[in-house]
Amino acid sequence: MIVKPTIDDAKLILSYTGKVVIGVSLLLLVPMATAAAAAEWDALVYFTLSLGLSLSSGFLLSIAGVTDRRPTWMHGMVTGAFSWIVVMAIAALPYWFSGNYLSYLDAMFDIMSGFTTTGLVLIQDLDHVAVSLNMWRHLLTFVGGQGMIVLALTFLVKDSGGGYKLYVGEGKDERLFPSVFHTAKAIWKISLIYLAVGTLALWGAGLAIGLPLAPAFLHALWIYMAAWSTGGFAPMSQNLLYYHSGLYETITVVFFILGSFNFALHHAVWSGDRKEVYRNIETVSFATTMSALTLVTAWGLMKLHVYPDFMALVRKAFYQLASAHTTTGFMSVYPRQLAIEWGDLALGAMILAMLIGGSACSTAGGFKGLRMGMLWKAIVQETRKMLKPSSAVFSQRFHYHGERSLTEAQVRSAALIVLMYMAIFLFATMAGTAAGYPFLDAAFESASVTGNVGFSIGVTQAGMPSFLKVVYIFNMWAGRLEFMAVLAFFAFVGSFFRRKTA
Amino acid sequence: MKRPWIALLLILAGALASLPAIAETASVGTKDLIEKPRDFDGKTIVFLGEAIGDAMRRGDHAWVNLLDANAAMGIWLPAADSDAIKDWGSYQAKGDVVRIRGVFHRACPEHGGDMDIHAESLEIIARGKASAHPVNQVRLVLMPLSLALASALFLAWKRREKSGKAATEAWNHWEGRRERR
Repeated sequence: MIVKPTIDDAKLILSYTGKVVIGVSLLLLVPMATAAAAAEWDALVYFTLSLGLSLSSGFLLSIAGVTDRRPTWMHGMVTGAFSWIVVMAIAALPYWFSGNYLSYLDAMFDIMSGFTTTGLVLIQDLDHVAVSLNMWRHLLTFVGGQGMIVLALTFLVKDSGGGYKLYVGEGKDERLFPSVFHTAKAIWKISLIYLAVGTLALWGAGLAIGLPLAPAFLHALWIYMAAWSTGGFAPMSQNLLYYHSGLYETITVVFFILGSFNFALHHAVWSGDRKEVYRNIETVSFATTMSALTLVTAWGLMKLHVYPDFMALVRKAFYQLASAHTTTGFMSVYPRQLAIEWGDLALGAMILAMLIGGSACSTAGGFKGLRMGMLWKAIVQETRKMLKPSSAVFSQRFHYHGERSLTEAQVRSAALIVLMYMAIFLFATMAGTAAGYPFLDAAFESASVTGNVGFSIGVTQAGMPSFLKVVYIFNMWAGRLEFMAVLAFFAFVGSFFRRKTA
Repeated sequence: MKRPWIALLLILAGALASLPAIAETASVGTKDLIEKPRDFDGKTIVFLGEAIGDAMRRGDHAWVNLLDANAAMGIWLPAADSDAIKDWGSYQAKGDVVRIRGVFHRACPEHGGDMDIHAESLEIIARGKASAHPVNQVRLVLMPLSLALASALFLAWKRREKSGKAATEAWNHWEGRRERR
């Protein structure tokens, strides 16, 4: 039985949520500076107004939650889930003020899509959006990739004892250093160094493909942010198709694959352990499923004669599949082309890739390569058990920052998470079919929201039913936080309002 | 009585004979191009849209993207033709409305399988113009008020935190004394 939470528990959660809101609110200074530099005065006004309102909300939550209690696992988990909901509602203010959304629900959908690095959009007239608004969109997805709580831990939360619990509540559990603050700082350091390298590379590519100097820089910064965070947002409605460039596509592939790798792997490589790349169960799992699914996709496209030659086929198949598998969502085809031309086999491979996703403790979504690797090892172990004498003893090992034995508890935990992903995937698929979309289209879009991918087959539009938008928001949120925090949140709310029993 | 029928048939035949020419001059939208790409693949079409973003020069050719009511389409055209476009669609402006005539490719073999149009001719239908984004006066008034509210709440939070800490310290001190007794 769950112990009934007290007012102090709620206050503690409000206090940390307030700090996360304050942290995200301060990010508004970046689009404000952009609006001032681009002489977008109306945008400067609504960004400043949003700053005032969101900071006020953050301070109010902090005032309501003043307490000297230290967070437990329950507080960390509930704060993780609750702060994402609160921030979604507050960070949507500039979107709503911009006039580019048909409803506040649409604005919140895009915020959740950005923070969870999904990349689906309901924005209207994207090609005429303010520079500062584009900065806000891409900044949100960049911060979402590292994690809002990682941001708050870096700058605002001083309690070292409770910090790790908040960090885990956001769906991350790798400790690059014994201290969670140093871990959070290391995550930012890795991301910011890649930000500089990636932006410079894409800026150079932008100039080479004919973009003028200033737009080349802005496109480079935004596309890098969306690639590294595996978000998939782009400043133009055609997404990557706008650039008509193999060079631009190649650079984005490098950065979104890097972004989909575990921060612990980056840290290991930077610390000199380069062999970890080849031995790590996640990279091995990613390379295996990526190769197999690329072949299936290419075969499906070849059968239908979708592309005129081998090079075009490889370029389109590999790019969309890599983008799906890393849960990025960059597209170099029109969404409806997938539905009309790609055929069931290629779409099936894409759905599977989107569900598997990238690495644990990365910016990517999906089941994660670690869990796929563990489940595969468990299947191999069970098969060997069946074939050998009953007295034989087996121990299955895997490499994950050192040699480890596969335990039953790890397999059970991995299977449970995969099962929950499948459950919400089926739930959103049913919701899509109930809304009148064909089954394959509904399943494709559902895999995309559940795995935080951002690929669309044309279902996600401002005109889709509101209940489907809410279902998709739920799936993006639950998928990003990997369920535990979400389950803890519902259990907390349920038991908080439960009547006292004798 | 037969003459009117013969005249009508002749008119209909004439209209049918002129249909291909009509299909060539009537513009096709992105909705049709994306939903029924094989119907137009390799055919010369007329496409109408607003120039958005920037021209991207690649040697003696350039890419421009034209936006219609549904989506934007990439147009591959001689670089000199792209110079005719003066205003590009962005937040600050509505771009020139351009009509091009060219060959549509469902999956262009020259451009890595992209869906595009290789333009043969370009015509500016309407010049673009600056977009006005007046500052909302209500928000302008609310802006300093919201910042003042945030500042007041910040001070209140800090005071509350201080008094909370003082109360906790007093409680811990009292608890410590009780334990020592």
